[in-house]
Amino acid sequence: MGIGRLYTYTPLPHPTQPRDVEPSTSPAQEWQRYLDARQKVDDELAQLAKIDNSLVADIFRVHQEILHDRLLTDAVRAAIDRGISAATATQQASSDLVQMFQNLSDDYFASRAVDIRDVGQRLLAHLNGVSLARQLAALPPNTVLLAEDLTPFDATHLSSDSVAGIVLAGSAPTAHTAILARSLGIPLICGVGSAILHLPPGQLAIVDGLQGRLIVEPDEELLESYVQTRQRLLAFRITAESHSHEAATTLDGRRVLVHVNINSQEDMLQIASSGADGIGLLRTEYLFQERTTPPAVEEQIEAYRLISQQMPGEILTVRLLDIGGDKPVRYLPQMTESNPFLGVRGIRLLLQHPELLRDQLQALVSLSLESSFTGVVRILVPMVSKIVEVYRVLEVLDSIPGYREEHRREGRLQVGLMIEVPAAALLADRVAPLVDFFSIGTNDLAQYTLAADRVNSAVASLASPLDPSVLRLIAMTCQAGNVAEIPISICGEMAGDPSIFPLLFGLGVTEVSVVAPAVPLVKEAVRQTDGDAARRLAANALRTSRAQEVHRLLHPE
Amino acid sequence: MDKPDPGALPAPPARQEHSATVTVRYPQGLHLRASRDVVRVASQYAADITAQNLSRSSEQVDVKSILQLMQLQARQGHVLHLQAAGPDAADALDALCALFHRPPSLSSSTAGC
Repeated sequence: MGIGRLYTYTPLPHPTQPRDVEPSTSPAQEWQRYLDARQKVDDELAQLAKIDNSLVADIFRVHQEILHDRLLTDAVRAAIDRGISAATATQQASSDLVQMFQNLSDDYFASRAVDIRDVGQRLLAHLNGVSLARQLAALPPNTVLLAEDLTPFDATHLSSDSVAGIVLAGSAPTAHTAILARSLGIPLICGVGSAILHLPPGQLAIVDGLQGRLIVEPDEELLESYVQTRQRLLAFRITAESHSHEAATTLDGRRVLVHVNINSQEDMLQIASSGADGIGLLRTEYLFQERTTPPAVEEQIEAYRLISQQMPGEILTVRLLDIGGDKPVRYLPQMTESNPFLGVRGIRLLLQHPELLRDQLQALVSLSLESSFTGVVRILVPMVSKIVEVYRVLEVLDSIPGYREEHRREGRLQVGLMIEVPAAALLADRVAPLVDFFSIGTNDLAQYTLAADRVNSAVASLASPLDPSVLRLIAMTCQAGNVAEIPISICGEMAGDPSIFPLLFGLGVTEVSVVAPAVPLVKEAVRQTDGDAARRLAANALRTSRAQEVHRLLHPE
Repeated sequence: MDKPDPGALPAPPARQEHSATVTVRYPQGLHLRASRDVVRVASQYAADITAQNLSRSSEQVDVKSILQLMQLQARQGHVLHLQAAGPDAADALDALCALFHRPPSLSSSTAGC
C-alpha cells in the first residue's frame, strides 16, 4: 500500500515536434553518434541477457534483434540524411513504429509496441543523456506514478525512495516489470483504464495493492486509517518476508501449507522467492487458448514437466481446463449462450468433449509416472455441480493405464474438486468420500451464492466472500472434508488477505493457495493464529447476518 | 509457381527465384522469439526473402526484419507464402521451410515475449 501525490508518466511523446534546433553537426557525424549509441545499447542488452533465467534473457536477445532491425535503422538513417539530429531521428522512428504496432488488429502483436518503445528509450538515453531515465529517477518522494504501461527499462530506473505506488492504465505489465516493481516493494495495480491518465497531477492518492484499488483525494478519516494500516503492514511485511522460506505453523502447532497460484509458465519466474510450499492452483487455460488445435498429450506432458522442474515443494495442483462460452477456443464449436457463467463451462464442457478431458488426464497421469518426477500431482476438477460429474471423471481416470497404481501409491496422484458452485458445497458430504481433496474457489462461490456478477460494478459489492451465506457454505464444505479426512484448500482473493486467515482456519480450512506476493504474508498470519481463538471467531462469524458484521469481527476498532 | 513446401522448383535462367508456402505451427503463432529464429536463419543468406500471410491477406514483408515479420500477425495455422530471389534463394527457402516444419519445442513457444 502506498500513499503519495499523483504524477503522470508519458514515456515517448507522440510524433515529435522537431523542437531541437538544426544540429550543428553533419549527417555523417549524427549517423556516427547513432551507431555509437547503438553499440552501447547492444553491449547493455548483451550484459542483461546474461541473467540466469532463460525466459527473461530471451526477451533481451529479442530486443537486440529489434535494435538492429532494418525498419528502425533505415528510418533513422533517412531522417538523419534529411538533416535531423540522431536523437530526434530515433525518437521519431521509434514513435512511428510504436504507433504502427499499436494499430495492429491482433492484441498480442499490438502489445509488442512495448518492446519497441523499450529499445527506443535505451537508444535515446545514450543519445541525449537527458530524458526518461532521469525523469523517473528524479521524482520527488511519495510519488504515485500513473502510466499507460511501463517497460522493463522504465522499471529499472524506479526507486522505492521516491515511488510510493504504481497504477497502470493498461492490462498486465510484462513479467519482469512486475517482478522489478515487486522486488522494490512498490505496490502496483494494473488494468485500471486510461481515465487515470487525465487525473490532475499533485492530487493525494492511495494505492491499495492488496485490494487493487486507487483512491484519489481520500477524506481525512480514510487517509488516517490508511496511514496507520500502512505502518502496521510495513512492520508485518518485514517480519513476514524475513521468514518467507520457513514452514508456517499455527500457535497451537498445526502446519498449514501455503501454496501459490500460477497462470502460465512465466509466472514461475516470480514464485521461487515467494517461499511457497507448492503449487495450489495451476490454471491450464494458457495451454489451450490462442491456437487452432488443442495441445497433444506429449505437448501437455512437456509443459507440466517444465513447471514441475521449477516448482518449490512437492505438490503440483493442476486444474483441468476451465473455459466456457465467454472465452471460446477456435477448435471447439462456437457456443452462443445468453449466460455463459451458467452455461457449458469447466467440467461440463470437458464431459461434452471427452477427448479433451482424456488427453489432459492422460498427460497428468503420465507425468506422475515419470521417474524424474518425485512430487505429487493433484488433479483439480473445476465447476462441479453434480455428483455424476465426479463419477464420470473417475471412470475416465480408471480407464487410463497406470492411474489406479499411482493413485494407491499413497499420494502420488490425487483427485480433488473445486468447490465453487453452491450445489457442490451443499453436497460436500456426499462427494468427499469419493475424492482426495477439496479446493474452495471463493470468488466464484461468492458470485454464484449471491447471484451477483463480480465484474458488473452495479452489483459487484454484493458478491462479498465475507457474506455469512458464503461462510456457511465454506463451513459446510470444511466439515464434510474434515469428516472424510481430506485436505481442504482455499483459493480466491480472500485467501490472499492475511487478516482473513484466522477466520478461514477457524472454519476448518487446512491449506491455502494465493498469489505469489501474498505467500509470505499469509504464512506470517498462520504463525500468529491460535486454533481455539480462530474457532471462536468462526463461530461468531457464522452467527452474523451481514458481511459488514464479519468485517468488524476481523477488524475491531 | 507456388509449391506446397519446398521441392523441385523450376529454375528461371537469370536470377534465381523460388517460392514456398508454409504453415505456422507454433502454438502461440509467430511471436517475438519465433520471429527472431526466422530472422536469424534468413540473415545467413544473401537472397532477398519476403513473406506474405495468406490467411490475413497481408502485404509482403522482409523476412530479415523482425519488426516486419511481426506485422504479419501470424497465428498458429496461418499460411505464409515465402518468396526468395538471389543466388542462394533455393537454399534459403529450404532452411526456412525446415525451420517452420520442425515441431516447435515447447520451451520456445511459451515464452513471455
